[in-house]
Amino acid sequence: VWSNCPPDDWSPRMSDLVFVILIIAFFAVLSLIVKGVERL
Amino acid sequence: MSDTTAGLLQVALLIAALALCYRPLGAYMARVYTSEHDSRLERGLYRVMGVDPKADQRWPVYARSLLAFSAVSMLFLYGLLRVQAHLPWSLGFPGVPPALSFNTAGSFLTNTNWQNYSGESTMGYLSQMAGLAVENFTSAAVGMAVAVALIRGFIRSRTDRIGNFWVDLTRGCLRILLPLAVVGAIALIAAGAIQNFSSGTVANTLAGVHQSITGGPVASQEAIKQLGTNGGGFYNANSAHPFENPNPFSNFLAIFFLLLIPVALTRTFGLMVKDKRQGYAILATMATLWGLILAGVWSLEAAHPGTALKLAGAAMEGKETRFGVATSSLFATSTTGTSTGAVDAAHSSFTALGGGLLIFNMGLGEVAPGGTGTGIYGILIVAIVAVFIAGLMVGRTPEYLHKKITGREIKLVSLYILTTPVIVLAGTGIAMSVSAARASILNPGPHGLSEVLYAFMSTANNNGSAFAGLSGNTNFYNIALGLTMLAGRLIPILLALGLAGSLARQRSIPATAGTLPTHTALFVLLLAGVIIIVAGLTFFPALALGPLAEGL
Repeated sequence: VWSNCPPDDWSPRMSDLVFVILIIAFFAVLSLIVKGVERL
Repeated sequence: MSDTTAGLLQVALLIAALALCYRPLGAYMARVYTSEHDSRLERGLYRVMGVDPKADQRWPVYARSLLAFSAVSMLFLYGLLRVQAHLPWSLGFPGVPPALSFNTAGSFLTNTNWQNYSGESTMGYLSQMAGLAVENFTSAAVGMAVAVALIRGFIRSRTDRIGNFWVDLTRGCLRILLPLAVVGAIALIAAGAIQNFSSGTVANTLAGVHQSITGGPVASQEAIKQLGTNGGGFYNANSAHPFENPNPFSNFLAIFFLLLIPVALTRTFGLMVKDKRQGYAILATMATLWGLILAGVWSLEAAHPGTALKLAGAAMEGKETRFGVATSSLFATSTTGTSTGAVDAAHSSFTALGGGLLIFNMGLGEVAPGGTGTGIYGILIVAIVAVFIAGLMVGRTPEYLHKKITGREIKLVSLYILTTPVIVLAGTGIAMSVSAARASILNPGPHGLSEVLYAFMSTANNNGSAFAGLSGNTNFYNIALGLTMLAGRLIPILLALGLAGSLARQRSIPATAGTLPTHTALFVLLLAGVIIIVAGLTFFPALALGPLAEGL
């Protein structure tokens, strides 16, 4: 069993929060990559 | 008529049809992206969005506009899928589970259209139409916008402006994709694809079971699925389903549609850089690679090595009898070469080496001829590498399309070329080391590795076709492949836009005696060679452990 895998019985509300944060965090990282490329 | 003769005739017809559309569509797209005029509808949209269409953007602003649009689109699609049970036309389906919604939203946003779900038993009509089909248009338009921004980098001089993302996006959707999709949908309906809002027809099977046959607005989604090189099927069986792709004629239309824009964009490129020969050279490179892969896949499938296949007389497992070996090979080569991902046959059932060639085709970086927009910007970036290598080998000054290739360009190009392989190989390695991920593998041995390698190769290159066999709808694969698709699409886009900005800042330099001609047959061979060698060196070890070990 993948120990880091979110268990299937997570409440949908909890999972939604996790995925929304994940999406926003991912795009925030991409925005930082833009800055990094600018400085390259 | 034999299967081979029919296949050869179909290839000839396909090339003729593409040649017929090449000039007018390529010229039209060039006009779309260079026109100073905005239509009334576009002006209205810009007013609503608060966009000044005359204001060109610096590349970081262009990139951030693209990221903002993508983030909002993904959150919207995620939300739509989660609440579909409460919306009209849900067909009684519950909301899509969170991890699957994340995967699907990332998949359609990135033009990948990897599907860890069965369309007919998961998605209501509103989710299909207002969610997935809309992304089919916008993700393709985003790809074309990036391509045009990079071309502007070559043709502009001493400026930090590469165009306006919102204008490029709007024009790509309204002036190119929508009209083509309307015509395409009508053609597919005429060919027999269904288009309705039936909530399902109950059929009594010979085994005495009641089966609900789902209808739906299929043809309209099918048209943009191919034209936008998206590939996400309305049904689980994708283009092997008779409602999506009922006969050899609709199959021919599907292949034609998915190749149309990527091929014509080389003409657009040639016109925009004011040297049509450059467009021909890029097209010739794409066609060479496509032809080589097609010849390889077709030969391997037609030879059908192996006792069982020889007894059956053809490698027909996983292929539709109405399409046969030749057309299935043509479809598979075209879909893996265009980042489309639609399938009319099960790629897992291709011969081991035939399936391996399909994986390799994606590993080329989706440049044969590549996705809508992604193909042309992808191959232009490898062309810079080819020019640089030629410069090192024969002492030519490294320049391409009147722009010097400096250290900054090479850094950006190197990062672009490394990004996808790192994601593919690291993702595959992690998946093979995690027991929960290995549990999703259907077949043991090398074929099992091919299933996982195919999944990461397909998603990182934004292809979206599946090898079959791998159970992808698990938390591990929904999250891992979701992140793979996002990183595989958006990081290279940012690097391509950075490259566009870097090139636009330079002044254009005239060609000299030391300039390597980039419109010749020699350059076509050099570029094709660089693409094959880079992909070969990168992926050979993984391919050796998977399809090569299985097939040899």
